[in-house]
Amino acid sequence: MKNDVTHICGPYPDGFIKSTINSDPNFVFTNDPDFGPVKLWDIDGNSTFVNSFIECEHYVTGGWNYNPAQNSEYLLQNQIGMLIAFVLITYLFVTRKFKLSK
Amino acid sequence: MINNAQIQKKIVFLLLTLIILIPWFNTNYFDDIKPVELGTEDTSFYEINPCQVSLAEYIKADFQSSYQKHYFFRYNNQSPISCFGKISGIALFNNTFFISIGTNTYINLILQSIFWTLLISLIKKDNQVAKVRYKNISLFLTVLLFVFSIFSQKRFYEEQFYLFDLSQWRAYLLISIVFLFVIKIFMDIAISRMESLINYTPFLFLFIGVLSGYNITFFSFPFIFLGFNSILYLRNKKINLTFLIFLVFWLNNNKTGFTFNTDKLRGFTSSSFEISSIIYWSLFFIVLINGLNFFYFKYSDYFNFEKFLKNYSIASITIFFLGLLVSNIPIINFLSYYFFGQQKYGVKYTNPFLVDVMNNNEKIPWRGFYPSAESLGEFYGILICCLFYRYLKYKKINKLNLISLLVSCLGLYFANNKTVVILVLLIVLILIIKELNLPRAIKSSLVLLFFVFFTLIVGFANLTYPYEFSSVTMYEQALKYKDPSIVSSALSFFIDTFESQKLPFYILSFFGYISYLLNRSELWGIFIARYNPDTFEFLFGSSPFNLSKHYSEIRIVEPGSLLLPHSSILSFLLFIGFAGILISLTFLFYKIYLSRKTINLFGYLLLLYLFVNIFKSDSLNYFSSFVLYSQFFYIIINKKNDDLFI
Repeated sequence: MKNDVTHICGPYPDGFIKSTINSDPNFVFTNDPDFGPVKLWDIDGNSTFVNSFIECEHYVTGGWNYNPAQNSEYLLQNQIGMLIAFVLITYLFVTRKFKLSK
Repeated sequence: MINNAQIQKKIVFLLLTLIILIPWFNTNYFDDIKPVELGTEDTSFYEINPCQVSLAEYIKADFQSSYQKHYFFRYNNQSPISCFGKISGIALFNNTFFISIGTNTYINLILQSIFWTLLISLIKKDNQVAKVRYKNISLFLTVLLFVFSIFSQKRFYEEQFYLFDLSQWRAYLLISIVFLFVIKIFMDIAISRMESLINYTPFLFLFIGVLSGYNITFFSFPFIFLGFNSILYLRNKKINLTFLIFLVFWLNNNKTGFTFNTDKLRGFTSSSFEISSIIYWSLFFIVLINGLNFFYFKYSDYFNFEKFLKNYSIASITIFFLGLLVSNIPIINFLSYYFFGQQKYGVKYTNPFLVDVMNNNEKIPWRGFYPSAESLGEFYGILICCLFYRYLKYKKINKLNLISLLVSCLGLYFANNKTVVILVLLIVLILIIKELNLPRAIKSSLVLLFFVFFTLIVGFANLTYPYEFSSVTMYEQALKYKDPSIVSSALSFFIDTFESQKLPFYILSFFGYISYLLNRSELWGIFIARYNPDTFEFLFGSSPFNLSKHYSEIRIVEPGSLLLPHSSILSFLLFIGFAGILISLTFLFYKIYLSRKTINLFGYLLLLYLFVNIFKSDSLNYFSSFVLYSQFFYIIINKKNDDLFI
């Protein structure tokens, strides 16, 4: 999860202390002008913008670490890999059969 | 009546056409996004809609960009798979539009490999296909080596792959599957055509075969496969033992991680100087040498000079005209890069006759389609010599040969390789004197004419400067490029030698004089300013195909662009060291001495041609030249020349 935070939100600021946000229902995130807004997605495809590292870290550790574009790319890569493997196995099977029939 | 072979050929042509066209039609034809013509300075539509418009749609909307000279189409290998063949961005710079087309390194491996495999399948099958022992294990080792090449040059590949985490096994699994697929199918096709392939090597200058986004040459696959096969057969034990001794020193030389921008050497040079890449490139070199040797050993009997020249002629004509096309038509420039596997886009200069008005109207070398004008000049030069020899000796020349002769002469002029021009003139002169029964007066006139040409090409003034002046120019150039804060060990040696004026001084100054005559003073001077070996590195080199250390270790006054050493001997001094060069040359000359009765005049002239070019050009840093030159060396030395060149 820590990797996800670094990947999505950037490196942890020096002296970063994780606040106990969950136990405080009235907690309001303060915008950090030095932090470029980041768009986050959850597993259902809902999205939100976060405006500070604390907010980003909080959301990402809470499961908003999905990236639809990235996931679809991984999916395509896997599908192509599987397709190639299937074609290769079929090719090996057919050539073997052809050789045996000779 | 149409037979099976013809139907197969038609299917292959259809598939090739589809592979060339279909990727650039990839888009959603049901959305509302309609491509627009590029305005004079407005690229906003394509900035707002990246990866929404296919190249085909774009060309349809803005057809002028496919042929007008201020448009450049460029690949963006780091694009998502879904963006393949679409416009991923457009930039305007100095009134020139750079149109970025989305491609994907993972997909390139599949698409380009299938394309080239289909092309090879067009070659007629051998009558009898010999059974290959250790086939599966050679295949497995070949795949393993190329997957390791990705692992060993992570820094290079991290900039090429889109969303491929090269620190995870998943990435290597996916790459392994594709490598296994392409190498298995390609080898099945290639093995059954090996007897013919020996006559197709000139096509390596046309189908260069460098995979887009990779530091791999596709056509090295069969040689690596054969190399492993040869090693498994336990051939060349002594040579391989020598390589292993060198490998120990190469691994020991590794000090700091340096990187190298592969540029026009991509596919045949290391991108970094670290332990894993040294291991990969050393293994690649050892296996490649074994593979080439095995290939020539097994199939050189099938070398047919007539077929070889036919293929050489076709390749030279195509390269010449393709050069003109890629420099004039942006869309062809773009497509040829992908489907011919160029390391570098075709030249931007549309006029091959351009001269440098600031430099005595010196002709600007024009490389056209090929990455190096110099190597291309050498390629044309060999063909001219071969065609002349065949005509003078056997009076055999056909229309295709004649066209290729004319094209090669023009190509050689465009490339402006003066050494090759002189060598070709010399070879033609010797052949005329030897083969034609001419009166003595005409022979003398021809020799005189040659010296006139020689003086004109080298420049009369250059021949009249005193030796004391011309022999130190290389040293002076090295000092000129030296950074005040750091001196390389080679330059330090030169400074000591030139100050002490003992025996080494006379040797180095003679070397300097040669560099002056060959117009290499500046380039070899830069090499000296950079070359910083310790004793072991000087003797055994820093590792094959590795220029990273040389170009990164010593800071010099930068010449502005990547200037290679312009001598394959100097490149190999970096790779295999002085001992390596000495062993190789001794071995080669010993072999020539042993074969002196079977080598004819033309064989010797070709050997001279090859040696001179290896001495003064970077050719051996290009896979195509490496294969062609090694083939000539092998067949000239090992076959009876009178039976060979007919």
